[in-house]
Amino acid sequence: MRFHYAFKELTKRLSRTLVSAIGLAVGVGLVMGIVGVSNGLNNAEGKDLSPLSSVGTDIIVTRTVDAVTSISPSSSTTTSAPSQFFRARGQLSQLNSTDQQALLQSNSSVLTDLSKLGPAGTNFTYDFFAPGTLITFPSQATSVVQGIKDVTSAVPALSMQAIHESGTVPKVVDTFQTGSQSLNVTTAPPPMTQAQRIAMRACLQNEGVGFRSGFQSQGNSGSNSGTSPTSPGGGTPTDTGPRSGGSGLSQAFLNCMPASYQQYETQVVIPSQTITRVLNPPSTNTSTNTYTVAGIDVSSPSSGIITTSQLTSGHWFDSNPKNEILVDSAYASSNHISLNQSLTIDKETFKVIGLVNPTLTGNTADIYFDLSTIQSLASNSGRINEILVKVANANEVNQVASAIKQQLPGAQVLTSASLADQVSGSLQNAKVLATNLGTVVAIIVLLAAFLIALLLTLSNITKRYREIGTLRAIGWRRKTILSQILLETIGIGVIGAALGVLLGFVATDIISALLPPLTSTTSGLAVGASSAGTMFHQTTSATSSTSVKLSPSIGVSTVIFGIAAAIVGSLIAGIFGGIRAARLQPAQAFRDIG
Amino acid sequence: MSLTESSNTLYELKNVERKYNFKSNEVLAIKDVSLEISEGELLILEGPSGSGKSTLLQMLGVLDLPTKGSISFLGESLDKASDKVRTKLRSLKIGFIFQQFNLIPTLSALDNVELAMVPTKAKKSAREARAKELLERVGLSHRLNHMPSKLSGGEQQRVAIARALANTPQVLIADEPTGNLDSESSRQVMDLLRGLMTQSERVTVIVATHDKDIAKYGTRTLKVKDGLLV
Ligand SMILES: Nc1ncnc2c1ncn2[C@@H]1O[C@H](COP(=O)(O)OP(=O)(O)O)[C@@H](O)[C@H]1O
Ligand SMILES: [Mg+2]
Repeated sequence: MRFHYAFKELTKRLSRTLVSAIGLAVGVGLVMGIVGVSNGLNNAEGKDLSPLSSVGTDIIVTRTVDAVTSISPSSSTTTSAPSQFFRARGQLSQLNSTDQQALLQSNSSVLTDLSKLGPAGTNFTYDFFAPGTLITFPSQATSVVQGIKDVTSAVPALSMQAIHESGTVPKVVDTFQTGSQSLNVTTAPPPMTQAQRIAMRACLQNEGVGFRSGFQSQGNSGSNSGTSPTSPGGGTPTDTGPRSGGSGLSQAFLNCMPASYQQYETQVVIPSQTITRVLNPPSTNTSTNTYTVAGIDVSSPSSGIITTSQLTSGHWFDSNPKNEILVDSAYASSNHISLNQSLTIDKETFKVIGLVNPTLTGNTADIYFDLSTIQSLASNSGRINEILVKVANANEVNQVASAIKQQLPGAQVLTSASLADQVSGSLQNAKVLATNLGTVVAIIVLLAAFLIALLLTLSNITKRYREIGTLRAIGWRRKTILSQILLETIGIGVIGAALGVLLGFVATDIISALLPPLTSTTSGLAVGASSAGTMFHQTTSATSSTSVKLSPSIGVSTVIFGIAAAIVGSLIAGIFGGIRAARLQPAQAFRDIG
Repeated sequence: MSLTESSNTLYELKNVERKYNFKSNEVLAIKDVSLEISEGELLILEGPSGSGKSTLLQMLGVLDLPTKGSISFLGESLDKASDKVRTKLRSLKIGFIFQQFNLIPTLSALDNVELAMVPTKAKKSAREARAKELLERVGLSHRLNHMPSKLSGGEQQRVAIARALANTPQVLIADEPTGNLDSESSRQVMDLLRGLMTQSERVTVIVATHDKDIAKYGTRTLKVKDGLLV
């Protein structure tokens, strides 16, 4: 009877019931939406942050220019060869000469003069490779790491920033001539030495300049022209000096001056040369693409920056990996690269033997080569810039990490724990938002929904004062009234839960549609190319961003949570409303109105 | 009246006062009422609106307690009766009939009558049989599944009478039972109530009314004025 009564109360007053149920449903739906998005973010982050160990790596050893600021004190006792060439401090000048040379050489290969690409109109395609901030080091460091206790494997890799330039050699060139200008240089010469003075006097006497009279007659030369007995036969042929009377004398002086004085009188002539310069070198049809490449140890298919388990199609490197490459599936799809296609990189042809889906955020490349291939392409033979280390036991990771730091001073040693700390970006922000603000909003929304349900129940009871009074009058007990009201609100709760769950799915879709695309940024480990970036006026930092596809998920637990929230809301409304109803005086049955 | 017919006393009221506190004013709805009501009476309480009839009925119906004086019902004092005790008394011994009929609008005639049997925990089949019997008794066997809104005022009041009789009460408390009815329906309802009193049910009926014409149905009429019996 009481269920029947409650059922009739709900169905005969459908609009009242629906208003209450929808109030709850909106609250529950919104909260489920928030929970769903939050779950989605957590899932996304979970995928994004899958620990290094999931790809068979516990520690990554790199060296960055900025990474090391001091030499570990124990390094002086380390006498192994790698530690000497591995040492790096904060400054380029403090790198040892081998490193310095390597870094300069590898980064300078990008400075190719466009004018040397060929005559105007020729098409050119170049691939330049630069290690950027991830400094290379000799591959022998790998064996040093391998020698450390508890290290299961140490796999080398060479990650590089590649710049692909293609286009036509521009026609607009500017040719101009330099040199051929004459310059008169006047400088106060140093005083003559005694020997020079004696030599000059002898010379002048030889030339027939009477020393005493000569010096005296010099002052009268203007009035005594042509009468000089010292005039050599025929006079000097070249002298066209303005002093008509003193021409013979000055020639004698020129001849007798010390050689160094004569130089000052010589004209300086700059050699002539023609310079052809390209105007505005990156002309419109030159395109520049940057991508990342990595050389891997193809003999370690189960550990390293890419493993066989990350192959989505195709196969691993063959016995002859020289002209084989693996391509990141995302990069392949955005650049329309397909499996088994041939790609020309730096004038060599490579076959795409497989597509991979790398999971190690911040340490992925677009194209993977055999290590020796990339070493020769990038003129970096014998050098690597990453070692991926597997440790026997997870507990020994920190121990091994410090051993590596000691053995290879200047090494940047990353463990999965330190990597996780460096994840940031909008994904992280959204997650923080979803968990912090989301929780607050969810609580407020839920409380509001509960409050609305309660107020609607109370107003419903107020409207039914006479009805409830009548029930009390005809002998219904207080607790019977209370449970009757509870029955009704639970009914509303059930309807609210059903509608709310439905709404929750809709709300999740709407919220995720409104969310901007999210990115996850991992700093400190990226295959950065900040020096190359500066050269190309690009902003490249040592961070790596991954675009994260958010798939909000409403799981069974979320649905149960939604249902529970609706029921709890209806229980709260039912208990408070029921108590209010049970407390009504039965005399309310005599009310004339209501 | 012969001595053999002198019936058991159902109610005994001594100097009953009911004071309401209404917006910091004190309202003496019942000032001083002493009264005895015997079984088998059809008592009419007649008086103008606001004279205190309903207040008196609420105390007789054990819905309310006096602020002064005492009431005993079936030989038991109600002075210290708990809400639980009074609720049980109402459920089993007292039936109510209201001016506005007070049927549950979402339930059929049959359901409304059955609802009164919820506190008795009677079985569904027993409830239904009893409800049908009562609706037949009030002449509504053809209206069992009608909703209150589909019934006339007189029919609704007869459903209410059936509900009031559900648990075979000893007394029926009717507050202006004809207040919302036309004269024909009023006559039907009053005839029905008198029949309940005189026939096998032997129910004591107490009717409050402001309508002097109703007084003719009663075995006794008391006039109420300004909270006093006159
Ligand atoms: N719950 C109440 N609170 C305050 N005053 C009341 C209440 N019930 C009745 N009264 C007052 O008591 C007096 C008697 O009312 P009532 O018993 O309803 O009279 P009647 O039923 O004869 O019309 C009236 O003045 C009324 O306003
Ligand atoms: Mg009244």
